[in-house]
Amino acid sequence: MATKVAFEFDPFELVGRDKGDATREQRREILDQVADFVLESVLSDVGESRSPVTGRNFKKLDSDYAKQKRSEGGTPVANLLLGGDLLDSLLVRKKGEKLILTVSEDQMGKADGHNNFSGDSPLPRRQFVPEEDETFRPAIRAGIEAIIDDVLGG
Amino acid sequence: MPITTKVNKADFSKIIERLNVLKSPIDRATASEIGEEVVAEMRDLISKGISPIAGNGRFPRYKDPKKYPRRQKPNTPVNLKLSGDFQEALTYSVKSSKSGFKTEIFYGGASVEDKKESGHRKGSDGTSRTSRPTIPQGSESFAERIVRIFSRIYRDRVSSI
Repeated sequence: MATKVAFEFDPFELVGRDKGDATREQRREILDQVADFVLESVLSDVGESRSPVTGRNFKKLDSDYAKQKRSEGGTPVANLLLGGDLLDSLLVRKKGEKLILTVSEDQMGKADGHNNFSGDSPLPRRQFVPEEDETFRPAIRAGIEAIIDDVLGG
Repeated sequence: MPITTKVNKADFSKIIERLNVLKSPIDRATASEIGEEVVAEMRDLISKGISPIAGNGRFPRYKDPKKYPRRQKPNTPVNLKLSGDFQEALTYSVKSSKSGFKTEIFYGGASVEDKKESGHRKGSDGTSRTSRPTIPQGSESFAERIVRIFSRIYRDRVSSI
């Protein structure tokens, strides 16, 4: 069975904010908006070959694989897109007052191949899901904090 | 006991002026800035195969990318790009409104680009499996990354008054 690639987080804790400042309704609104924002941001970063965790660019494809990818109808860049199954399955789901960034069960193997949570992947690491002791790159965290500010301020 | 206070007339008129600006905080420059940045972000998202509409995530895949002329369309990303005219035509205009000025996002230039947008919205078989709308309508709203942009610009504008 493939290693589970998932990142569970509380948006308030992630940016060091006190949840006690928000009503239940505001917390729900924040959770919904952060879920959309994180999914869009991870897809956007991966689309430009950048890790939403480290902020660094993904290692380029080796030339043989780039040729193969082009011949199969893909674009020859490290955007984790060939057929599209992996990124189509990326989702942010709610669990109580937390969010989980993960992929569908049938894509866990592929996701571990890129994120290497298991430590067994032979591929260059192209991480798009943070590990437990990690977080998102600063611009994504700033976006989450702005959502909290807007909802609490509005 | 009566309290008396001195009011500097010049300061008072400045305050009145600022309060009047707050009634309609979006000036032409702010509305233009929103247009510029929103169009840029929409183009960026679309080019990566991500819908600019909230909750839509990635665009559904092409049913048959090989049917395009000279097989020039890659399977992925689903970026609605063939000649590039469609994305180029995405633009904005600024019009006066109750809050000062408002920004409208639309496909300009030849009306053919508008037809392409409604074609993408309907999808090739009229179902959500092939529907790829790019401009929110009715109850739809912009993707959260785009909302962040106009929220930031609006906040900056109000705090500058």
